[in-house]
Amino acid sequence: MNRWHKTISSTQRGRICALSIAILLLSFATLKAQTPYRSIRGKIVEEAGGAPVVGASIRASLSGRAAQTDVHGIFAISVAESDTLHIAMIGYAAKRVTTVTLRDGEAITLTKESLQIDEIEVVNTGYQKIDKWRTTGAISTIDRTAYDVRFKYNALDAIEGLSTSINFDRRLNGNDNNRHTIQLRGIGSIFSEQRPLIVVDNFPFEGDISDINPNDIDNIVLLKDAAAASIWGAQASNGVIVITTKKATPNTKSINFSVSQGWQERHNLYYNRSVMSAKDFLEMEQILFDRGYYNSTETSPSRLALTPGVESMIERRDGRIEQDVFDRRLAELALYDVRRDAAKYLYRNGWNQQYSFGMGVSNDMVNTRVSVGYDDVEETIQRFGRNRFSLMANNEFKWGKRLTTGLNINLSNRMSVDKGLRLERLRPAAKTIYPYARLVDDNGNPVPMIKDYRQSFIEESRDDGLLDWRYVPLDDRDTYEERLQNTRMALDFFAGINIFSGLHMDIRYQYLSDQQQGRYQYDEDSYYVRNLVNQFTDANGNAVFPYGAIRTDEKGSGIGHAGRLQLNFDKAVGRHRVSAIAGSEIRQFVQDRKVAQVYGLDKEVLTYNNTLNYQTYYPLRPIGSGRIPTPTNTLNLKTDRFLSYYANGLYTFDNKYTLSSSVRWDASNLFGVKTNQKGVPLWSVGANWQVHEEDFMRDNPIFQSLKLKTSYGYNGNVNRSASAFATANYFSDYITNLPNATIDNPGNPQLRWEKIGIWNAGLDFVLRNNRVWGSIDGYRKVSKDVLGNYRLDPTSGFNRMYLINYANVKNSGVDVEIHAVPVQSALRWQTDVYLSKVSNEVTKYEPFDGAVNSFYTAWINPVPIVGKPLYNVFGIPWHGLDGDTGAPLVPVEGELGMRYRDYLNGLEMDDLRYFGSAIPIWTGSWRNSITYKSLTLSATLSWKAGYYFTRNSISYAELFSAHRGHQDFAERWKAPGDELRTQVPSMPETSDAQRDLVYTQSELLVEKGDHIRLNDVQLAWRPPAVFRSMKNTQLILQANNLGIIWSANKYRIDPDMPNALYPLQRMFMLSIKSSF
Amino acid sequence: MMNILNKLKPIRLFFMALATPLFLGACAADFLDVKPDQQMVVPRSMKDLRALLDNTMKMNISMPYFGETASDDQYLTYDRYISLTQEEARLAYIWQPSSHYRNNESLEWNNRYEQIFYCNIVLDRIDDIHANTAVETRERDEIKGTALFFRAFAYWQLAQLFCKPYVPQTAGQDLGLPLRLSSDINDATVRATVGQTWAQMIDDLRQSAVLLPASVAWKTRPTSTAAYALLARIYLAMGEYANAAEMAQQSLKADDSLINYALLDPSRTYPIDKFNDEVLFHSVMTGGLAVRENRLIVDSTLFRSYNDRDYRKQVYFYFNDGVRYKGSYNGERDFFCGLTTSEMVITLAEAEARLGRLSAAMDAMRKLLSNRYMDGSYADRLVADGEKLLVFILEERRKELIFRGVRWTDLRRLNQDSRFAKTLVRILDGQEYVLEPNSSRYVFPIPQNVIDKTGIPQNE
Repeated sequence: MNRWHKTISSTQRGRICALSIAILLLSFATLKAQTPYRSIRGKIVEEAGGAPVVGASIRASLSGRAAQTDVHGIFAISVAESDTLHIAMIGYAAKRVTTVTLRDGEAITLTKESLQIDEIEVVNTGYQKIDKWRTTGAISTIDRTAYDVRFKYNALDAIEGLSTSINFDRRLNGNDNNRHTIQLRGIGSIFSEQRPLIVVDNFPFEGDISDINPNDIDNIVLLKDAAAASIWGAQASNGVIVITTKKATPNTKSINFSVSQGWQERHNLYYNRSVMSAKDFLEMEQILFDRGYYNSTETSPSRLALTPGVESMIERRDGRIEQDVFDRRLAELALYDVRRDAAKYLYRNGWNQQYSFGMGVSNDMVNTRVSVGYDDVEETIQRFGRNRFSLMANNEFKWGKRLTTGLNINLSNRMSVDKGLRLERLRPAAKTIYPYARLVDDNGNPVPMIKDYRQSFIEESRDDGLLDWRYVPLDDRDTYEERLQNTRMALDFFAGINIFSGLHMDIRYQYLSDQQQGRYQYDEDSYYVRNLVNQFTDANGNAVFPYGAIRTDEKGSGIGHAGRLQLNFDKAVGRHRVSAIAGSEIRQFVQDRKVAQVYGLDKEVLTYNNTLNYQTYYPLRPIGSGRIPTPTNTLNLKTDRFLSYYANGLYTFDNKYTLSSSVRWDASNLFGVKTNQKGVPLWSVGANWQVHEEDFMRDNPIFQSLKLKTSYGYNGNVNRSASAFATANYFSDYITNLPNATIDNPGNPQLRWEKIGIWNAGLDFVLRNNRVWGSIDGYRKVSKDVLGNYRLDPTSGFNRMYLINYANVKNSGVDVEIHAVPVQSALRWQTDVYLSKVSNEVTKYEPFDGAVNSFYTAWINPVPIVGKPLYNVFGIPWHGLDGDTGAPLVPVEGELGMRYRDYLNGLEMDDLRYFGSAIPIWTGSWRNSITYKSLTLSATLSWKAGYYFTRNSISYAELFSAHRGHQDFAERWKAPGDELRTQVPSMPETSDAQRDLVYTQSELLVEKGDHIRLNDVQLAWRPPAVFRSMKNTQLILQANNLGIIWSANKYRIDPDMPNALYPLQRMFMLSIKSSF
Repeated sequence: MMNILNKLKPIRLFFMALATPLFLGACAADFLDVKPDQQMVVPRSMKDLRALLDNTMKMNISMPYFGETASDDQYLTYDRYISLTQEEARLAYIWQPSSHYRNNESLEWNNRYEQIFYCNIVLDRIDDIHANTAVETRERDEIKGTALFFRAFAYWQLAQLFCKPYVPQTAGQDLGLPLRLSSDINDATVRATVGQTWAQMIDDLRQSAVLLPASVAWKTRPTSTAAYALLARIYLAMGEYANAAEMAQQSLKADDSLINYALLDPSRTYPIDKFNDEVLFHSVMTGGLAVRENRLIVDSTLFRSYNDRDYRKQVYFYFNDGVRYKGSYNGERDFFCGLTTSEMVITLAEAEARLGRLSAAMDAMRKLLSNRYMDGSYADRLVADGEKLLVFILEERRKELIFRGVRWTDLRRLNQDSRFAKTLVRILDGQEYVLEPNSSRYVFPIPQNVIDKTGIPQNE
């Protein structure tokens, strides 16, 4: 028993304690005698005119403190005896002022200038706030002006194109445009988390980021390398996105509000090429009908539905209709297009409304900001809408000189009601919808559509006294509804204690409650219920299945606790400055999920009937026998626990040289005992050099400022599903119904962290003319001990793939960010370029020994091959079409022919043509904004390149059996000679999946993904102030998702989402933002 | 609060701050001990171990079918043959077995070693479980006996394919199976000898026969009766007839019920029920498109050898483009390969006959055949002539146990006796294939991926 159930031994406990003491002591090692600081107040005004400069940054060299001016241009800052203030503000020349001569409250003047960068920016890493110039790692901040002006539903929507390093990956997007994942500097893991960690106000964010009102966001920072992200330790390997919400501006009272109205274009159903014309479809049906393809279905006692076209052909063959009637009927069908009906009756133009209102008060005692937000979205699917209400209150109270406390409250409630119907969910005869289907008759009245059974059977069933078995899609919408509600509450408590000057202790605690409720309900009149009742009605008319609503309730609850205790030390003595933090953190997140389904629900009195016999085989209509499906009832409980100790130190000499280092030790309950005992610490070191502070750079003709930086270190990654123990899952045995258990993991006592070693080097610069600034970073990330599938010797008894830490993955790349102001006069033009290159390569993995067909999906399900990226595109070599039959040719034993099975069976990995990565290697964006007086016009172009995708085309097996067609059908080979003008194979006599595969996976269909798209365009107008106090009002008109303006493929396919049913929908918005 | 804080000496505050994380450290052990997913079961209780052994997918079905594919009771039409997706099944059929399997996976090998892995997980843990009551002790014994039986059954299945038959003179040198006796997946894979392999099976079964009860509620679980039956099968294959007879008797003493075939309804799709009275232990070969009710065609000579007065002719067979088999003791289209009382009776008969105890042999045959033939029409073949009786018993054995997973073993053992050795011939698409008695092709090659991973020697 014991060897399977160990706890951390007392020695381990001792080691944990010792480590924490060591870390804490380390951070005080440099502690020396203190110099008292004094607080001074000042005012910053424009040289010309004397208007207050709002939001200017002030940094004191020696005390290291930073401050910002309020709306009156006033600031307060702690300074050392003879300190220097560095003052910077966008649009003004930077200035240094010595405090020796500065009187309290004195005005400092700034001269207008062209440069528009925030030279002294304070970066919040989630654990500490550091002046950006002192950081040694790769950190990007999202341009606040550009971010604010963009319309967004959630916080991360709008960062696309506003930073380097980030790729919005939409490959999985089949029919949901919101489905994307974010990759930051490539992909460093295979089976574990590949997305960056998201942090909101100091704690990792659990839940849906939509719960944060985007109007409450103050800034977003990307931590990209080891030095920047190491403080997040075991979860930081994919980078960290730190979101900080707004606080009240110091010493002000302010009110702001914004109103946005947005229109979203209805779905473009004509985008996806795998829909063929009604005429082509009927032609296909006629050919198949003549071949007798439908005979078995027609005569089958299963009475499975046939399309109206085929039914007409049967009627004609049996002489029940005349040829002219038949011809007319088919000609009429050929005119229909279900997409036309769908666009009108299923979809609509969407309407987004967003309102937010905030109030802030700040004085010596209190800093409080309260905001509320409300969103109402009418989706582009009819009868589908959702709303969001959010409230945020950030409060800070100062109790004398030693104690500061805070309480942040964030509430949000999201609801959606979906009674809509999507075209892809209409599946007559369990197939893709046939193109000439109709939703309404000529007068616009809803009409029945075939569903499961033939019309003749439905008519017979009516005579048998069964429930109406017809399916009327538009009416059926009234009988099904999905209701989702999500309520999230986060409470952050904070206390900061000044122990003595320079040493500060923070205690933070977060309570999180994230509740989700879903209700999926089929009314008793729904087709779904009627069908079940009818199926289970016996020959005497007794229905076994209860005639009542079917409701599924889903409840999820996530409860989190997080606590952090941290010591901050910040001290400047002479030319030395030390900033260090050390702390420990404890977190728990428990997720509880419950699904309950009831049958025969009477919604009035809430009685239901689940006491059915689920074991008996009942006769089914029209044929066969079956068991009543068991209602879904599941329970889940997941617990994540983390315990961490960390320390981070920064030492700056003479404002020129900075060294950084960090260590962190993490443990979690995810791994099983052995790794907890190991607890490998993660660390980083880094350095930067403020070259421009050197004397020899004083009058450098090129650089105004130049910073060089480099760092190296390790971050970690966790896999929540792996286990060091052998684990089993319970099922019910299919022969005996006894509980049985299956081993799903043989246990891996060697399980450990995935570790990512990151090296980064870069420079930040500002040119002398103050009109060009930017940064360049090069990096190399090597992921070691990555969990990979390893095939054990099957004699061990576990012959499935087994995850062990043995793979290596490498990502290396360059990020370049350049900003310039080429024109600066009455007309101002700013241009921003973000460019990233990342190459991703598997450097260690088992040689491939699986089936070649796994390469056909390697673009989405990784098949790791050493020397290649993780996600790849391969194609089967194409040998053209046979001139006599139009069938694709394949070589077998040196001879071109049609032996598809033998060809595919004999195919080896090396026979496939390798194209390249399925993920862009190059991503870039180019943003321009032009301001003339009070008008600003801005636009973002984005570019992706260096990747491939396989476009879809006609697969006859899928066409015949699943009605999944393709426009290419019209281009197919029909007669000898066509092989000269087309490569689309002819329609075969019988469906042959292998023949289709040879074409649909061929190199012929692989396309380059390179493209440029116009992301967004904004026109902002700042009207003259109506009221004096209403300082900042903006009227913004904008358009999003304006489409691809150039792409390497000529089919107008969006390479980021080649299988999507419709393209990203355009959006047009009008917003008013104001503050006073 | 503020006052207190303001009064506190900085150094005290500092130590208070220092002390707090230490409390966290102290409770870390229990804090991190929580299961991340409540549905994850680390099998360690009796209930968990029982549930592993009750997994019929792993323990009772998907038994190897290559022996039946390669045996002489059946043939395939060329069309059917060509449609077999697994090339290794096609090669097994024409006795040209290959070590390369589709997707590098031999289910014949992998599934049995998975079964052995499950048994070893149970056996590694069962002795650590403390039993408080007599009921618990009995349950613990039964679980252990079950694991031992299943492990032996899996090794038996593998030994019929991947090792030479048991020949006493060479069993000490002939390459046997890798014997894995612990659940540690990092254990080395090394081939034992045939002698060691068979000794391990016998040892496991003898232990399990003591630990197991004589009967259980589910025929998917083994009993001591089944353990004796498997021992009888093994001893017969080893040519140890006295042991075979003794074990068969032990088994029959606990259960000797036979179905009277006169009472079966041959018009049913599958006239014989699953879990019928003759079944001592339920096991089924699954997989492969070759060995199934509506796939293969029964050898016509074999079919003709059934007397018209033999009920089995109606119960076992039907016509549909040739003679088809519907007599599975599984009551379905997949073939049974478990243990039955009828096998025990005929095993006893053969062992007795070979030991020269002819009347005992004849008694056993009479007991079985009176339940198979109309009005004693077999009686004239029951003669007190050792040679003739043995020939008759072997004929009846083949007819009785058709498609019950023993023919391949019988071919391998009988080939060692020149009187019964048989050359097998298949004709496929005009091409003739021959399998000589005692050919090395009676032994299937070990899957190549196993050889590659472990470096163990391949069969000749």
